[in-house]
Amino acid sequence: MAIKVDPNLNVIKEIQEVGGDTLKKCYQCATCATVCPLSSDEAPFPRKQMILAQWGFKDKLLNDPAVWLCHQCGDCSKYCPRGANPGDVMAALRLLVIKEAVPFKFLHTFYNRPLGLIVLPLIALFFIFLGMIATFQGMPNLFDANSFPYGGPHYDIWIFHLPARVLMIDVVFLPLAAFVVIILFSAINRMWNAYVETYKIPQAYRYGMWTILKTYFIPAISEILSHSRFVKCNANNWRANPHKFLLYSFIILALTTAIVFVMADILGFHTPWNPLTHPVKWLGNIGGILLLYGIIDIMVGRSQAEAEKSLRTSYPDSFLIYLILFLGLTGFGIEIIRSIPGLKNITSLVYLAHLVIVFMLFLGVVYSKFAHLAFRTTAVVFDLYFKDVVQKMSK
Amino acid sequence: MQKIGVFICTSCNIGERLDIAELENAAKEQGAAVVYSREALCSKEGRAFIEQKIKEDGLEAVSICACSQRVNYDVFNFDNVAVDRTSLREGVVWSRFPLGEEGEVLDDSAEYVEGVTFKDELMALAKDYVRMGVAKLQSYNFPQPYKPEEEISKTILVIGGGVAGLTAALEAAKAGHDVVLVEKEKELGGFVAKMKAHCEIKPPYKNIVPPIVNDLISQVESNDKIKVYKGATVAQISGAPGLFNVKIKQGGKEIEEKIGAIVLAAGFKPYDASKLSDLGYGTIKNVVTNVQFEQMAKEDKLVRPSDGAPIKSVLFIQCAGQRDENHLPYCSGFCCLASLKQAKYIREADPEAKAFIIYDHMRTMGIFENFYKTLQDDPGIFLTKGKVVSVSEGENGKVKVVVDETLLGERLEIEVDVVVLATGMVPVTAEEPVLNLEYRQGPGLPEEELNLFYGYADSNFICFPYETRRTGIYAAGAIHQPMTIQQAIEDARGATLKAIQCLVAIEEGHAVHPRTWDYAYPEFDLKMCTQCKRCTEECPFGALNEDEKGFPIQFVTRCRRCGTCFGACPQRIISFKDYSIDMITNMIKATEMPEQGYGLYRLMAFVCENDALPALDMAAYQKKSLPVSFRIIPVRCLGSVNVSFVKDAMSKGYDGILLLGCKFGENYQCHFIKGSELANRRMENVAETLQQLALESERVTLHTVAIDEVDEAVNKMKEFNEEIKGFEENPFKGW
Repeated sequence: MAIKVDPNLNVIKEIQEVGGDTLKKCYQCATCATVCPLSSDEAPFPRKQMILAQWGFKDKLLNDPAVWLCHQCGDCSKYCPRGANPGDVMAALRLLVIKEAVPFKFLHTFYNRPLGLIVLPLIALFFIFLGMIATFQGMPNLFDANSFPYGGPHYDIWIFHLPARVLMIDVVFLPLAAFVVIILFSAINRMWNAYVETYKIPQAYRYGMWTILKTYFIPAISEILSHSRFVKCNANNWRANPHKFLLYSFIILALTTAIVFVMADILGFHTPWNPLTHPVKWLGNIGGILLLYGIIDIMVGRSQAEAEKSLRTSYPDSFLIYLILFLGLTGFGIEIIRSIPGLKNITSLVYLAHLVIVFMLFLGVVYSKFAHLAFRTTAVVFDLYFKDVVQKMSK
Repeated sequence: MQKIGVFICTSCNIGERLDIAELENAAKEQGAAVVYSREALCSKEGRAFIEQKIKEDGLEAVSICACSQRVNYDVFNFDNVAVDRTSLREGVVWSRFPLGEEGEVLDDSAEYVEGVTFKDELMALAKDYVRMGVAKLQSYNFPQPYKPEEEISKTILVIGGGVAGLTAALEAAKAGHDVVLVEKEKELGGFVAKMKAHCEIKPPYKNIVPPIVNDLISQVESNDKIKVYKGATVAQISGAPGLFNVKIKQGGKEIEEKIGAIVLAAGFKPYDASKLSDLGYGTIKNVVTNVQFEQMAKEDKLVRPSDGAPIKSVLFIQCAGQRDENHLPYCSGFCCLASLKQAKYIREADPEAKAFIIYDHMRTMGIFENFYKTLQDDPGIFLTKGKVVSVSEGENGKVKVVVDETLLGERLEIEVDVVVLATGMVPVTAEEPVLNLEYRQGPGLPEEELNLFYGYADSNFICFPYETRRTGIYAAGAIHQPMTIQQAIEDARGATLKAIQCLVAIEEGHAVHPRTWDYAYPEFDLKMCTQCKRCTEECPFGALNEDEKGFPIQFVTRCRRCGTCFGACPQRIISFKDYSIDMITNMIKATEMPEQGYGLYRLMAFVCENDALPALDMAAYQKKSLPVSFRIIPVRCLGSVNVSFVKDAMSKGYDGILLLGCKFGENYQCHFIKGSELANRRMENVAETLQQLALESERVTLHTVAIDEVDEAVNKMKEFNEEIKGFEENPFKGW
């Protein structure tokens, strides 16, 4: 069956605008797919994705896990004889997939255009102020740490005893988390079904969700934790380590947050705790240090790679990098400033900034490059599943 | 030549392995007036020594018994003295070794067969060579430059007024030559004048420019040295280079011009697209050729031919009727570039328009890769390798094209307003003679040559890129090879330079090419001619015409001095001043043949000095061993080997004869195109001659080697040496 072709020039221009400007330079020699350390024989990339993009085959690209299996090692870009930078084009394609996979596309625009630098903090502030006014029963004084965050009324709801600042975070971030989870879950669900169709998985091998999770999710997670794909990169082999540190730091920080949630919100052991003596603080600080180390290492590595032309840093890349950097800086900022008596009153503003950044990062799990957390994981699970099916079928 | 001096060099192992006194005696016995030997003849002192002796002894000719004729030819060059080179170094001491059973080199004193040492055989060989050198000079006469009675014309005729022809005319005029330009159509400019635009022919090679041909036309038309005949054709070309008589037909009248040399730039015709009905041509209105599309663009009518609607999308099918055994088997080299250019036309006209290019291989020659890169970067140009499965009518006047085996891994169905077939070039020489030569071998270029190059007036691109097989006629532009505008300009310059060189050579009175230094030419003693026509038929360059009775009429300036006529003539009536049947006969006679029952065979090899001899010299530099039984006579071309050479050698008692020539056939390497091929064909006559002598036909064998096939050349000689051992001794020994 022949497929009808009537390319949409706007799709091509769209990819070119988000970092894939070199995509038309590809002349299909397939050097990229050959040198790529991650490309597999069963479903090689990125040669095919390049021509699909050149011809504006958006649907095929959206339903292609290969776009996510690429870790942007940059080997392809380094060896491309035509300067087509397949690695960067793949990154642009991922942004396109993220945009197409989730609702409320204007938010995607804010995450990938400089305009968002103003709009996104305003959105965050809107929700935070809303929660603040509700829980502090009016606007607290943001230049007095004893008013905000350490002031406001206390609430006794059912068995929980909650100060205003804790309730404020709960009312803002629990719905936000739910929003993110619902959107991701539906996007991943659609993506998975599309993958299964694209790769023509026979009915006999289409397992239920629990079987998939049981059989392939665990190996996928262990792969991701060990970065076993990422370490195969040649041209930019420096990337695996800082990225791994960053991943570990997020895991540690997520764990810390969960512990704090249980201890403070549920059990009523409220913060602030002594950073030197409290074990949960130790954990949080270790996570924070890892985070700063990882992100600074990434920034240094990227600037070197730029000089060698094996990697380009687009606006969406920089945006996420600086967001994570400020996340770490404001986090430690609160801890340090509130213990310095002369500066204690600035704590409110730093705390507010930290909350804004956390808000943007939370929402970024859906709309920014950060979405690779969910989508790449899905693609890796599918990749393991697909290879397994291929193997079983060949027997 | 009477006063012959022989100079024997003792350097480079010659003195160590050979007995010089014996060689001196051999030379004297053969009739040398004086014989000298000393070391390093090629040194300053050595040369001065020879010059001094020439003066003292009044020598007319010198035989330099030292190294190969292929080296030091500038050193051993003396005014008004005939020089022959006897190769004792490459031919004897560096190429003949006594080998042990495991290939190790033994001492020369080792016994070769019972009672004969290797040294004996080596000396016999060296003495033969020294005697042959003297014998050769004894038969030598000084060549005289050929000066025709008629005045030589230095006017250059250019056939065709396209980019190549115009460039050729301008270049020739700039070099000071009068030019006659003949253009078939009413206006100059050829194909390029009919274009809307073409790729720029200077850096950065990224843009399109209006045809440069307009500028060339005005330059040509305002040049006093160029006489232009428009709407005219060449009715007849008679005579020879420097002396051509050209009849030009213009309208009803016929004009005659005296011409020296000719640049053939008559161009190409587009391939007949009516043969491409499987791609919808002829049945679907909106399927056009690249030539038609160009015309539409030129006339600013880029609309659908069916209904005049604007073109929003176009699909180019590359290699339409090309690289296909059923159509044109070759790549025309310009079509990928043309399609990219035409895609640019529609993309510039409408930013929303789409152009699809379906190629087999994108071939934008040379620096035009820049143009490809630039156009590829346009988001509205879609490229893929693929095979067009079908072209059919679609909806709303569109054309539906189905493409398979694409790089997208899918079979694609594309609907477009217009389909353009990128058809190729057919040289006009494929269909008509163009030149209308009054030559015995026909009015056009030789058929067999054209067939080698799909009808193009092409030739071996390394050795002689512009020379056709008609001396003084040089091809340029798309009649020469399929090419782009820039290539045609370059090509025209090269061909013009060759035409000018030709005129200089004719004025000097020596051969044009490839024996450019050669003043000698074949001379016919027609009293003995039997009108067998072998010479007129076999001449690879059509240099000979025939009179009514069948006698050859010679046109010396057409001749390339290959000696094919000399080799062909059964009556042996053709000779050069410095190369004759007698000369070779005397050389063979000068060698010493052992008595019957000596136990060792003697073999003769006639070796092409253009390919096989250099290969054997290379073998000598690598110290590869040739059988000591071989006596080698270098010949200008295997085509110049007369059957009488074979007869003479056989009568002398040689046990076998090897002809070592260059490669012939599709990838021929022959300097004279057909020399070794003709020699191969003459092997039948040779077999007949051997039959008359009651000898086995296998005793004469022909092999071909390329210049770089050093091991091959050595092995052929070794194999032949072994084969001959299977026969009895030649019974004519000692007669």
